[in-house]
Amino acid sequence: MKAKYLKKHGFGSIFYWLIAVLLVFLFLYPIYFVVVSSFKDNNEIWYTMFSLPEEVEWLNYQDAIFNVGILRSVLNSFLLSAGATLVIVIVGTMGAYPISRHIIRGAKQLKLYYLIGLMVPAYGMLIPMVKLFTQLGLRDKYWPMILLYAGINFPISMYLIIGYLDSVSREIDEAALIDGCTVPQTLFRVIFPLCGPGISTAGILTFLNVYNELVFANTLLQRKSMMTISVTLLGLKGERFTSWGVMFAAIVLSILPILIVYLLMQEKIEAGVTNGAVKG
Amino acid sequence: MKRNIVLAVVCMLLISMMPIMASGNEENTASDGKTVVRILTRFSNPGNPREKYFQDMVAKFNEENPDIDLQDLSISDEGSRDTRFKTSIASGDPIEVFNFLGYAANLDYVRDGVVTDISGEMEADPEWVAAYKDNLFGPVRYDEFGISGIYGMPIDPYGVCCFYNKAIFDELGIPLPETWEEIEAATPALLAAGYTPMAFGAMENYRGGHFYTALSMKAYGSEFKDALISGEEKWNGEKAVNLISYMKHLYDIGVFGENNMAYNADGELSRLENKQAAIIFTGSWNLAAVNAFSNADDLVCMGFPYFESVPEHKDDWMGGPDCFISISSKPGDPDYEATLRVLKYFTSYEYLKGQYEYCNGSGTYPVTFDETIPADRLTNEFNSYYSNATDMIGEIEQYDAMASLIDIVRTNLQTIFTGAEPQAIGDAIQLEVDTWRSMNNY
Repeated sequence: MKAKYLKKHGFGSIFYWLIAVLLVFLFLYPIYFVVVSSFKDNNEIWYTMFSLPEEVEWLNYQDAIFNVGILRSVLNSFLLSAGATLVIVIVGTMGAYPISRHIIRGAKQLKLYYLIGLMVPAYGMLIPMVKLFTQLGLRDKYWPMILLYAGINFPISMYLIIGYLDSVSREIDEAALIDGCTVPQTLFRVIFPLCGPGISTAGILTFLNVYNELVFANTLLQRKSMMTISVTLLGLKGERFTSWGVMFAAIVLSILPILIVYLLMQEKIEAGVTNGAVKG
Repeated sequence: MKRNIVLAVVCMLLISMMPIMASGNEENTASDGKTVVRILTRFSNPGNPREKYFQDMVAKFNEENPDIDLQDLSISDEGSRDTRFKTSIASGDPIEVFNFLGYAANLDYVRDGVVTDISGEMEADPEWVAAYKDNLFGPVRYDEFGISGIYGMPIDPYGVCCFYNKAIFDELGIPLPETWEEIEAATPALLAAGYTPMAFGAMENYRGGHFYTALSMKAYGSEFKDALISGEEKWNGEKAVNLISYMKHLYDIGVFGENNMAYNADGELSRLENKQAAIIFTGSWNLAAVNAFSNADDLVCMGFPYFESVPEHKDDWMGGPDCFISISSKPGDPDYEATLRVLKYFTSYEYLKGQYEYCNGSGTYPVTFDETIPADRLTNEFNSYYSNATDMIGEIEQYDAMASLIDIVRTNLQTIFTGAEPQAIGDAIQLEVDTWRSMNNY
């Protein structure tokens, strides 16, 4: 049986499977570690790092939810990410279309102007942003943060969408115009669906960037009720004591929403990421 | 079908988030005529009794003071805390009440007027400071730099110490070693029995910095610190390199065990509780944690080991005041009165006594308590050493006006565990010091 299999598939196939199993292990191991550690106390995490918990420590989850307030942080991160993504998808597409189709004068220059946004590091704007937010009383509020995050992610999203739009034939626009569509109708009814993968890529990147962002969240969202996941998790890293079990429980709880979104939108996300790899 | 589910979920989320986002966060809107005071500390982890006590007291303060909106911005991660503090200063809106480390390393904050002199308030309200130990205010006085006043209230005095697992030593028939010579002598037997003589979690660089200062006090006393800071001694000079060489020697003969870069201070505690390590070098801040260990009865608290050959420095310690609470509001500011009330609340005798009782006595405090609960055995053991201290200093680098020195020294000392040579470590530190001093005409 073994010899027959080897004859049919060759050693290459075995090598392929070995690598595949190794990769599965490499990718699953951190998840296993986080989940298992979320049921241990500090001592057990350090003492028996790789084994299953001797006694399941549900208290970690109780602390993560009620004392640390991780669910509120997950909600905050989700709202900011979803909000910024929504703005990027709508505004980014509307902004990219006239540049791609040269509908407006100075489209090339405008494209170059947006390039500056890619070249200037966002964190270089930290102090002016803190000053602006403080003077205008915008700290610890959702909408200003959503607009800030959308602004930071706007240039890269624009370039992704423009790149995809450029690959869509202009004849489709012309056909839509001949059929009586206005420019907005052409954009949202004809071009927008055709550019789905490109727009998804921009949206996914924005969502992930905002979901994991730390520096602006740490300086502009300081009240407990407004903290995002990354800031809340840092709060568990004590001055000289870290609640590792609670931190892992909080990480598990913060992964869950993303996992649900991923399972629901698996096809779109995978198509978007693959597309990004080619178009980006 | 799947598409419809996705659309429904997305729509529900968007609809549900609209009211929340439109209103912002109600708590953060202008606070109905209340004076807003922000407090920034490193107490944000409710898993630590002391930090949980602080959080509870913030809530209590807000209940008891309806005219003040005390906003707790605390975050325990040092880098994040520093980012918050520094950006608040850079944006012209410094946080009103904050933890301050004092010493010369933080001189610039005082010189630039960020930190307010509270000596006048202390004089005006002697009852507030009556129970405080006078010798704890040194790091927040800057008279030697021509600046008068007191710039913070001490909240966290400490002393470095060691916890020994007596059961291990009894099992091997070895008396508890009090000197480095005895520890070196006990090392082969401990290693042969499978124990780490002294766990050293070098993953966090402050461990090396603390150890270096504690060792320097036992070897040379505080004169060495003074000489290093004045420039009379060099970081790559004989005395300084000897200390690094001794740390490397201890590492080489197995006193610190193996894989030190793979664990941190929490890992040290775990090794003590799991009977893997015979000794850990730590500080009074861990008294509460060690008291809660399942094998606490087997553990004893002792001072940092000294050298038999240098008995005159046996009782020289690394320790003292570590953290202060300071304010940025100035007399005449609209929020000054409220800020002062917050400062007094969180540095009051009642607050500290409450903390002492909440933490079941463990630890060291800046005030002397009258009638309160008796301290635990480990705290008493610690105090029996601590009270004998004849000289005490904080980490050497804190006394230098070069603020980055502490990180430079700690990071370079960490490389002992990656095979760096002592002289090269000393040279690297001294190079940075020389560069900074020449740039700052120091």
